[in-house]
Amino acid sequence: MMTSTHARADALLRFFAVLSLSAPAVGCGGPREIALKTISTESAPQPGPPATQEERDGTVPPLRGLAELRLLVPPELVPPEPPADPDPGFRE
Amino acid sequence: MPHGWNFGKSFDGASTTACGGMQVEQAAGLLFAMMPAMYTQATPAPHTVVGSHWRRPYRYLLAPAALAVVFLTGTASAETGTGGVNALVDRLSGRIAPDLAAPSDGEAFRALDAPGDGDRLTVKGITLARCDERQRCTLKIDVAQPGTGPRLLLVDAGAVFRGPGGADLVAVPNQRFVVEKSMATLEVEALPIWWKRPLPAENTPLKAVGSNDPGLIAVLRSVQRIESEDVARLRRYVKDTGGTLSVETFLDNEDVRAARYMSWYRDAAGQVQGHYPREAILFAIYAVTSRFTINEVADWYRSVEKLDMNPAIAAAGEAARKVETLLERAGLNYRVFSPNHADYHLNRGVRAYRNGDLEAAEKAFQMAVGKQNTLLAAHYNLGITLYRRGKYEDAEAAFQVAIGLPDAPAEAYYNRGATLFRNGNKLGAARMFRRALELNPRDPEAGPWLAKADPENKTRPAPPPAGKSGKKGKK
Repeated sequence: MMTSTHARADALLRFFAVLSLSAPAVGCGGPREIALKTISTESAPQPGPPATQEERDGTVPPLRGLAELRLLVPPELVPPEPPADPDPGFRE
Repeated sequence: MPHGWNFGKSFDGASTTACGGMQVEQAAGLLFAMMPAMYTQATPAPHTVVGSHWRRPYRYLLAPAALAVVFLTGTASAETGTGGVNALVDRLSGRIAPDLAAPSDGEAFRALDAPGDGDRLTVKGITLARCDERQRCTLKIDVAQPGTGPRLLLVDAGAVFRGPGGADLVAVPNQRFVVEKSMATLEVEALPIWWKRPLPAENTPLKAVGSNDPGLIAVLRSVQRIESEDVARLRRYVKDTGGTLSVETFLDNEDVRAARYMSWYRDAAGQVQGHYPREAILFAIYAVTSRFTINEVADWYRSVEKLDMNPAIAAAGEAARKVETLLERAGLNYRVFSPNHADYHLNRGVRAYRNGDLEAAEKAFQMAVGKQNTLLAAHYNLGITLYRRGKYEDAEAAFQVAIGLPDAPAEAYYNRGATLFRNGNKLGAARMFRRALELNPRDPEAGPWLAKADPENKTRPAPPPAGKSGKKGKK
């Protein structure tokens, strides 16, 4: 005959068993999915914000454009010379 | 197979024995050249005393003559030895058979020159053996030579290997192979050069072209230089503790930092050699070809290495230092790569501005100014962004800082003039337009706006008083 303590423990066990079995069904547990981010390197250049109404009307001078991006590879870059041939360490 | 020297049966130690930093031939040349001078010092002529011995003019010619002989001997030695083109060394890019050469695309790639000398190695086949999930690839290269070697095949920075669909790979430079048989198949370490282009399947035959991209060539040649010439200097910091090679020094300079980035090993001859980190080379290549910055590197760690956000950011930060060192050595603007530098924030600001995100642009330009308060472009762009956000007073202040910096262009004066005009300061605007015209007399807008801002020419500078200057001239 089960005591009330046993009954309570039994109910608790059943509750957790049901919970763990039903977890995958509701999308919990299982192997963890890492939210991968796609690597986007460069988007198409946009024109930027438009000129103000006064600029378009000609009541104030139109502002000049932005200074451009700094390039990784300078346009005038000359690649360094390759190093000299190594000594192979043997003779013919 | 770790690449490095393979001193085989035909190693001739005597020919490369060092003698106080010189080759034996150079040391012998120095000794030979110094002999007449030594003899003259030791045996003065009978009619002279030792004190007056060096006063004779011809004695002074001996030292330069000795130096000239040493120089000539050293030069002759260098031509046949370490400094020039070695007849026993073949560079990979110069030895590829014509039937393996892909045609030029007229822009990024050019056709490789066909190998000429029939006595040397020829590359007969190139195949992609495999690529792992971290984008480290292996090429199988079939080589043939007339007779037997040994010959040294040096993997240089000259060739790009093309697969179907524009999947291009480059061999990691400075790999060295001693070819002793008439035919051999070499396993060469390679990296892809484009992010996002799918790599070919295993055992796909590849063709070879030469790259026209100066940035790519510069990165690869810098790797070659670091792993050959620099290693000779850096290995002094490497200590062998129980078979483990590590950098142990209290010094902290550019060389020591580079040495710490490298992985050290002993080659077949027991010589300490170093590899620059392959991931840093890959990211430097992607920075040139696919515009990678530290952000894309962090994303690479998340997508390729399956790291969580924080470890990926930490790994990207660690990699960025190595990438920047390599980019700097290659002569590229490494400052665009990571947020340690103003140029990176400037570029982020420009992109945000173009995408219409003025708040992000303002923050980025403020960061750029915070990193380098003399960066003219950052102040100038900050002024434009503030203007577009309707903060005209702040914009005027930013342009004022810009025109106070050396070499401020006419555009900075013009924009400050435009902002002052909008703020109601017409005479101040006129002075700025006038200065813009001085810097660029062909400015199409500064002239008309100067006329509108100052129709009475109040801001025209007064001519110098002719009378006083004339009197001064007479005096």
